[in-house]
Amino acid sequence: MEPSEAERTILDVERVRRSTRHALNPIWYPNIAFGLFFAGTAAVAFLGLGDTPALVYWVLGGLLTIGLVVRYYARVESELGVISPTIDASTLVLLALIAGVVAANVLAEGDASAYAPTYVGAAGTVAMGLVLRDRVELAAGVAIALVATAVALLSPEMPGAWANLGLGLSLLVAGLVGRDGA
Amino acid sequence: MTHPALRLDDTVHQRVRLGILAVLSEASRADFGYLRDALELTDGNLSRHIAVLEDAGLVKVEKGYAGKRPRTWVQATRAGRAALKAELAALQELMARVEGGGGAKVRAARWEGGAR
Repeated sequence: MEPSEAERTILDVERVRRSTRHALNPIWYPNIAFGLFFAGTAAVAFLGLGDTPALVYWVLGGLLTIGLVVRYYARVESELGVISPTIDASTLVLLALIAGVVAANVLAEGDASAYAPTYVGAAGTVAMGLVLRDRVELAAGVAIALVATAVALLSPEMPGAWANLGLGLSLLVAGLVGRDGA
Repeated sequence: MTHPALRLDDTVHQRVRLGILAVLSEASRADFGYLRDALELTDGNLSRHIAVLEDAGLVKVEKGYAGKRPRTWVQATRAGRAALKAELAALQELMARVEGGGGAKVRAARWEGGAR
């Protein structure tokens, strides 16, 4: 066998694997769903509706968003006729991301409580981009890190709301770009 | 150390069978119809290659239903995953024997939008 033939074979295998991976991980959908959710948290904060409506939004909106994403992924698997591995790398990244955001919220104090979870979100998004080998996701992670840095440096009023707005818009744009490319 | 070409497994190396194992390496299982469409094969052709892989213990086939829809699920066994990995390693080694053996193209192909 010639090395050029070996290369062609590897390229074919990688193409098939990438296409299956992307079919099973339509990451644009959670990007749009979570993008809208986080942009919504910012809107609730800017409107000054108070702590209780904000808490209700976070809990109900968060659960609804997760539910929509889970349902969409299940529908994609059913329509395709392919079942993802129960625990794959992207699931582990997602679980680590959720744990990291919760930990950052609990541990960070003062202004850091606004941007620390956003940095964790950026790291998680970059990790997801690496796992899925998705350049749009990587770019979204970098954009989220820039948002966190801007909030840390500029210390605006309501830093948490600004950080969430930047996070939400970054995810939303990544989702729309990814959907067009899907 | 044997030449990497001698480590290529004829059962795995065949183009369609490599494609089947490549799809299954990214999923816990795949339906016959998905494999047929993804690899652009006819039913008969795919059946024949799945049977070869099944006989070699590299895939497992199960029939069942998803709702009312009949499904034929194909799943890579542990041996099947290991065989794909060994095959790709042998191919990489073959390429590495030639200077600048296209590693950059392969790395790019692993990314979305990379070499087609």
